[in-house]
Amino acid sequence: MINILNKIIRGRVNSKEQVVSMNQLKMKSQFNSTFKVWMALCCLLATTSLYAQNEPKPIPISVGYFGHFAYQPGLKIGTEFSLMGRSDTDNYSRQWFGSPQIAFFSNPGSDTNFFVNFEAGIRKQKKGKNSYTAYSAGLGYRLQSKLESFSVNLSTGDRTNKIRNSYGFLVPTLNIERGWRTHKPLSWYSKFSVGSSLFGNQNQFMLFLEVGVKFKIKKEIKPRVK
Amino acid sequence: MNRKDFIKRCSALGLGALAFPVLAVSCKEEPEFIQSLNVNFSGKVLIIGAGAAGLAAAHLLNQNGIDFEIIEAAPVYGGRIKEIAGFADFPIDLGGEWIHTDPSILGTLLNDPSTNSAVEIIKYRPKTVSAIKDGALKRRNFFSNFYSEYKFKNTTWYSFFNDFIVPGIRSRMVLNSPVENIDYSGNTIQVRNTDGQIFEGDKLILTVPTTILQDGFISFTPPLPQDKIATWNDVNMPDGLKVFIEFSERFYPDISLDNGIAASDDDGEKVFYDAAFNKDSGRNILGLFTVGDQASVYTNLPNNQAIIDQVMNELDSLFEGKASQHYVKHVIQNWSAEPYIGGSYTHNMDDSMQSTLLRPVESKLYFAGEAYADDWATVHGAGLSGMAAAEEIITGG
Repeated sequence: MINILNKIIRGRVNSKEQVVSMNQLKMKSQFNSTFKVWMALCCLLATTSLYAQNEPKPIPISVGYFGHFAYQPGLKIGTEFSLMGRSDTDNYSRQWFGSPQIAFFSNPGSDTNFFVNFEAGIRKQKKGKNSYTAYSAGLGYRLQSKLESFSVNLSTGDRTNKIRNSYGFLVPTLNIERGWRTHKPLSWYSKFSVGSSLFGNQNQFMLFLEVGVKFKIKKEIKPRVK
Repeated sequence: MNRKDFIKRCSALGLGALAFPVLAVSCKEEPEFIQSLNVNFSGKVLIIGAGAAGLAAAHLLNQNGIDFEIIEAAPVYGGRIKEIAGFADFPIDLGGEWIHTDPSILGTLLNDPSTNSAVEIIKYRPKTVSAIKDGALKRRNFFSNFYSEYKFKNTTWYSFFNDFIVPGIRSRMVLNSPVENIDYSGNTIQVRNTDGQIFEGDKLILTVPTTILQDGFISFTPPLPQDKIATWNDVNMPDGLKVFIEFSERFYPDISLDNGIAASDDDGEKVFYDAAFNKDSGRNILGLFTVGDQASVYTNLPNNQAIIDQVMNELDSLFEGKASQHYVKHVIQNWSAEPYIGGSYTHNMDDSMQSTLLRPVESKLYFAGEAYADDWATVHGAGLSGMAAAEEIITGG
């Protein structure tokens, strides 16, 4: 476990220090990347299943455009559950929530990124209004596949023999979200996130713009047949 | 708003947001070939200067069966593209190094749709970026997200021309032949070099750096139009210097920009960078690239020893003495002191100046080089301007 954590924190999957062939290196990189993504997906699904078992209510899903610096396109899918009971005052209702998410974003021609994230925060809604504001903090893991070099064909411009390396980053974020419930089963939201990709001396400030919709999937409970 | 309207609006907004950045940046570019030219010229073309512009012009003339001769002042071809092999375990560009556009431009310059050749390219996006402020390094990795250029992997700009362009035109290149006079008063153009040798042609493409023209190394008979001379004299081609230093250990970021990230070209430019970035090299090679006022600080020093001493002092100050501790060797390319070059590249070009400089004289003298290019101050721009001048002559346009 410590080794796995070390790998995740250290981030770089195919280190130059490892004396293995390029093919082995690529296979190892691909395996590690796939493994991490599957692990993340399993965690996400497990959370949803647990939630579903305890609360036979509709499952909230959010789907949105997830743009790194707004212009590097991506897609984010997430769900949400209550962390505590709702607290109401005369004017506002407040709800603590947790939200596991998985995302993909790309800087076309340069890098592609998988992002697994968990956010916890509070949603504040003025009574009688259909809009809300949510503040949250998140911690995620970003797996980046970065194009390092390629061959360009002088006749066609085609790019072949692409060599990519994978890098992993821990990504803490702070988020502010504004949402509107325009139709009952649907609401839509926009969200700004700032954070940092943490990996050795390659730490980077990050900014995300997210625009999307939220809806609920009804979970049907089938009667047991004896 | 009903549900249909809502979904329609959301779809439009969502798809628009998704499509825009993808369309903006992800299109693969293909080389643009100059094929099937309507050849309306059968004379001989003289090309003065064997830099990127001169070589590219000669290549296109050669592809179209036009007679030409290249006259180069220096003992080598390449102009401001130059490489050093053997300093590291990869060749190093002592001159133009970055590819400031999509690398498919190499196919455009080669102009051969039947080729099977390919060139290895590095996606140059430094991971660790620093700014040098008040003599100290400040981490600015954030800018890595917006830094995107290309470099050759195991080759150079020089070897691209050397391997793909020069073989077909080498036999018609005269080196060590500094031109001192161009006489275009008669039906044929006569070019005289410093040895008194005369070259004759029907058209001429002049590709020498603007500093050479400003300094009056070449005289014209009759004199060139006054507005062209005045514009030439307004062009700024400031000092330029490159230094490469090998260290036994690496202690520097991928790139460090002096004067902050947003320093303008007017102030000059000074960058320390990992020259071995993504080169699959086992060596630690730090490059210094500087132009403008910041380069003059070095180029005004009396000799190369004084230059390297100054650079090492700065590095020791930035990296707590590690530069001296791990120093192995260095090489200096002082472009300001280079005969027949005398500086870096054009800095203050605008469209109006360029149209004056580009205008052919009496349909005999044509002009090409980085200063005359749409993408001025670049190697590919110089090459394309050479091809444009050659195309104009070939088609009689």
